[in-house]
Amino acid sequence: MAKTITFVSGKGGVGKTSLIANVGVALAKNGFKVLLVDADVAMANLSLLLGMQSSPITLHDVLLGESNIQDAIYDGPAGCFFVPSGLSLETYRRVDSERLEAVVNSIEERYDFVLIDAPAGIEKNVMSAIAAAKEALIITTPDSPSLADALKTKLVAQRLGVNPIGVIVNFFRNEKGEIKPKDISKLLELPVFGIVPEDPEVRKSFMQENVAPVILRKPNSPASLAIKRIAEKISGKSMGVILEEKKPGFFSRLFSFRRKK
Amino acid sequence: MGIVSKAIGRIASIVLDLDDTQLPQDQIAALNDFLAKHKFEAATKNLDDFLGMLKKKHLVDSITVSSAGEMIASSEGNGISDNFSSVALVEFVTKQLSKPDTILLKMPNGWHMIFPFMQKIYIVKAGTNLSTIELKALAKEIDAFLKSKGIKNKKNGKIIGKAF
Ligand SMILES: Nc1ncnc2c1ncn2[C@@H]1O[C@H](COP(=O)(O)OP(=O)(O)OP(=O)(O)O)[C@@H](O)[C@H]1O
Ligand SMILES: [Mg+2]
Repeated sequence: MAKTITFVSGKGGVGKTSLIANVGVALAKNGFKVLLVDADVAMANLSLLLGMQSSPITLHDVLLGESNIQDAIYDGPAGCFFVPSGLSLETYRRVDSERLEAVVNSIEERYDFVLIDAPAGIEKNVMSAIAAAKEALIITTPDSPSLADALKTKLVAQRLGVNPIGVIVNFFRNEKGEIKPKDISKLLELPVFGIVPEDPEVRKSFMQENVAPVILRKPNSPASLAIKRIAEKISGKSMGVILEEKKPGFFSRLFSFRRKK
Repeated sequence: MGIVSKAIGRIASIVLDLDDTQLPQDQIAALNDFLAKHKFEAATKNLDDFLGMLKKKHLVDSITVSSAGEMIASSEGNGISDNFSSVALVEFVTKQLSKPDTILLKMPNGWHMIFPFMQKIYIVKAGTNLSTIELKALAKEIDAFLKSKGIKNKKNGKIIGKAF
């Protein structure tokens, strides 16, 4: 039975997509069978970060009942699998995100981890993403607007009967005016699952010829090391060093996406 | 002049600590306040208290539960008439169209939501309409509570359980 966790924040742009891609890759590199689901049905970003260019069948088609989830699962970096969301505005208007829970239930037992990337906000599509998992990880930055949204998100998760297991503090700079992780933990009444520093290498993921999560590009950068610890916390397994792969042809292998049969 | 004043400025900022960032204490206090208002005591054993708590937690105005055509729990006095009209509506829609996930009625005073789930019908009223996901979560909580109290589905018009 997979551990199913939705990464959710309330506030936009705090790093949900970046963290889920990198945590997923870290888990996959350590031998876990990982499925990443882009449940941001309106603003699909995860597949871009995973280097995927085009995907004939997406979560949109599955939620519309027009395709089988099997056919929407693709090979991602480092041996993880993922379900892209779909870029079409036309299908977005028609999808019923409430079907996501049943879709995830139908495949979860085949994976060790199913990680779901939620949209920002607390509207219906966000609730669908939360309700599709058993557990939620709340992502916040160390400031009050983001923390206020994190609080509301935690309440929404509890209302939906989903267990908020912890909080990840992203964009941490260790400045005087920042709310300290231990205070964030106290306020949210949740354990801190990780503190990820602001690290220019994260944003650079999109500024390469071959887009790749930072943990593959710069496994020893501060953010990568923090993300590795989050993966360890989620899996309960110590991960040693994640080595930068330098073999020629690595990137071409990495991004040769094939449809999963 | 440039170099000198810059150097003095740097020293001053170190000595006087000109960095003006500090914790927004008032905002943190406001968040704590907000949280205190959203604490829900689920440990109650009393059905009325439980429905009252659920109303606050799920931000709805009233909750009525119907089983086999009869009302088995309601947070309001008008539960019995809500029960009759809702059961009739579900039967009508099921017969004329097909079994609905939810029936949503937009009334002048807000939304009436009729949600058939696991042999019961949940009638929820609120200012905004809840998604099926929210109604299901609410129904599951009530169902678990009723089960823990030994209030089962009705059989042959009789309530099984000791709470009534
Ligand atoms: N620790 C970090 N350090 C520096 N940049 C970061 C960090 N985490 C995320 N970023 C950058 O911040 C931007 C927003 O991140 P991301 O898209 O992951 O956030 P999100 O929460 O998924 O946003 P949305 O709510 O729009 O889905 C991206 O450009 C990303 O590269
Ligand atoms: Mg995102």
